[in-house]
Amino acid sequence: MSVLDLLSVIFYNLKRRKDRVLLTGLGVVIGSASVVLMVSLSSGLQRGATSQFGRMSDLKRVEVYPGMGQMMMMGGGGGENQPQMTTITPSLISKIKQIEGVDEVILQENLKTSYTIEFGRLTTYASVVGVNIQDLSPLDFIFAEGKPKIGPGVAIIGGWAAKNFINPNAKMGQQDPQQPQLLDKLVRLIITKSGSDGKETRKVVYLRIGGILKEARSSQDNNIYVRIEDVTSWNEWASGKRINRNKDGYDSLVVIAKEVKQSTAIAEEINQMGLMAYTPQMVVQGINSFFTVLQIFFGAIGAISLLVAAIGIANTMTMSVLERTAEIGLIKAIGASDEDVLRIFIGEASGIGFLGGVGGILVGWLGGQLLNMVALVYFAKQALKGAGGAPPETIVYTPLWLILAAGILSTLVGMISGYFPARRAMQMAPVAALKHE
Amino acid sequence: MSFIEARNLRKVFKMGHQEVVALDDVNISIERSSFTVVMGPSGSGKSTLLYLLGGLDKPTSGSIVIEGTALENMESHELAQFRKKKVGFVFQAFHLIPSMPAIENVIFPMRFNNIPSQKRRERAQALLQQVGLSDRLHHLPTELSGGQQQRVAIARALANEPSIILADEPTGNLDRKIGAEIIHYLHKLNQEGHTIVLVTHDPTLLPLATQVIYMLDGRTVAEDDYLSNISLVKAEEQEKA
Repeated sequence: MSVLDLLSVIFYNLKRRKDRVLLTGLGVVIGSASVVLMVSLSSGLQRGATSQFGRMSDLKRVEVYPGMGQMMMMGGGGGENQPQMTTITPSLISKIKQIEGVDEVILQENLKTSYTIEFGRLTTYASVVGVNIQDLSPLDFIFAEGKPKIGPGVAIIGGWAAKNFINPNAKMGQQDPQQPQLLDKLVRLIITKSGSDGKETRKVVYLRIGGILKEARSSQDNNIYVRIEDVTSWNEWASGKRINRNKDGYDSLVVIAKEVKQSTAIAEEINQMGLMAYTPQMVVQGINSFFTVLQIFFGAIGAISLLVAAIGIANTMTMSVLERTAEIGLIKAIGASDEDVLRIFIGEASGIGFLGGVGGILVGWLGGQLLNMVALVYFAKQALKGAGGAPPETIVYTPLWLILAAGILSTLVGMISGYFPARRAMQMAPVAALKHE
Repeated sequence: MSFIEARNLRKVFKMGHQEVVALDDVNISIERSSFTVVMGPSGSGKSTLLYLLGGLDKPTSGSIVIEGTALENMESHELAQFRKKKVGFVFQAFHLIPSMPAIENVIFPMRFNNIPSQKRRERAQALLQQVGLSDRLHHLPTELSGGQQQRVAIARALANEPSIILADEPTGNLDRKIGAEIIHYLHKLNQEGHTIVLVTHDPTLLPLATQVIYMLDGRTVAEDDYLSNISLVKAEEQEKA
């Protein structure tokens, strides 16, 4: 008996008992709908939780800082010249470059003295960060304006720093000043050094703003990027000492992984060198594993109703086999083998499971959409009340794999529930079955 | 050797702790293209005999050889194969699948026989035409009269081109006139060369038979014995009713 023949026989048999198929299928609808809804809910929450970690390119980033030895942690506090401190020296950097999956290593140095950034009469708070690349493309920033290029006297400013200029001499109650258009304009970087006698010396550097970043809710919002050699020379000027990179190292690194999935392994390897490495991917992985547990838990709750539905199918099929003894006899009389009978009845049960599954997916998905709409209205109201934070776009998310899995699971539930009734049908003696009437 | 040979057939059913002998020492031969009528009152074992000949059940002892093949030693899948290829059944209660239109009911046995779908559709149409139902192809059984349903069942029995047609009281659920119509179709099939074994207690069918087997209490008996006993049996039945 071909699959197509089997399907059409099943179709005719299910068609005959529409109300019974409907009622039994309804159990499966409820079961699979609750699985779909529950898992969709936890998938949606997962997406909400991981979406703040932004784009895939962010997940490729590994930030590296000098490491503090175990001794230091226990001793509490510490100085940069302690032997326990692992600094980011050129030799470690060349080791990091050799780690499998590392695409790029970017050196960063902070300006470590007091300074202000001024434009006209206005001033903003920003950290001056030197990087060893002229073209910032590997960092994959999103630009609001300008180009990702720095150079002598050319800087790139973070989105938040660019929009938060204040008037330091403003009187109480005075309105915030209008934010300046910075692109291709010069800002003043005023660096202050305090001598041992307490006398302050100021150095004024003019920086042309070559690019402005979009706000990314990340550390780069507050930065002004310049060339690393400039920061090094300003730091040396301010401290009056030459920096020995082999001893002092760099302030931090940004390591870019070739693939998102490699970043955690890279971070772990760097940590083993005694440095401190961090990638948002680690957190995302942690969140993901938490939500996997949540999904299984939620899915299991939904599966309980599917189990009840399975009992319903088994019940219906058992009744059906008992009622249809004559038909079973006939099927055997016209030449169906035992396997054919088994397949027909298991097929019917699977058909109920499948139809219920399709209905359940539809109901579960629609329920999710409804929940999303309700949530959207709720969050919109919250936002009007002034509760902070951007509302999540959706709280329920139904991934494609879930739809497929729910369909397969429901069919499987039908198949398993139908097995014993079908076996009973198969074992029925054809004569006894035909004489039943 | 005849087309069908049954030797020393015995069939015992277990009803709880009791054993009921349905057939005892039955010996019959049926020739190819014959029309055999098995006559007997209810409980005489005639249906049991029919089911044994059709491979729907196995004898307790004895042998059945059909076209040189012994049935008594066959496994259940071999019997299924035998029923599919060699036997067409017609039942008293028609046993059509209610959700299938007439043509689908005729196609049904062919689905188990790997006949290409185009071919089986054509064949089902031809068969329904033979039984005078070419204008009822897409009617559901409930939309057909009893006689029409039984004609669909006859067409279904012919679907896989069987060697034998086994009919179990095919007119039992029909009034006399419609029953005669069914017998007419079966007679026609016999004249076209089909071997037919028909079980009944209706003596009006006897004139069509090329062979009559009389049965009483699980045994074959001679016509005279049957006729002298049957009045007794009839009286008993009336008493019960």
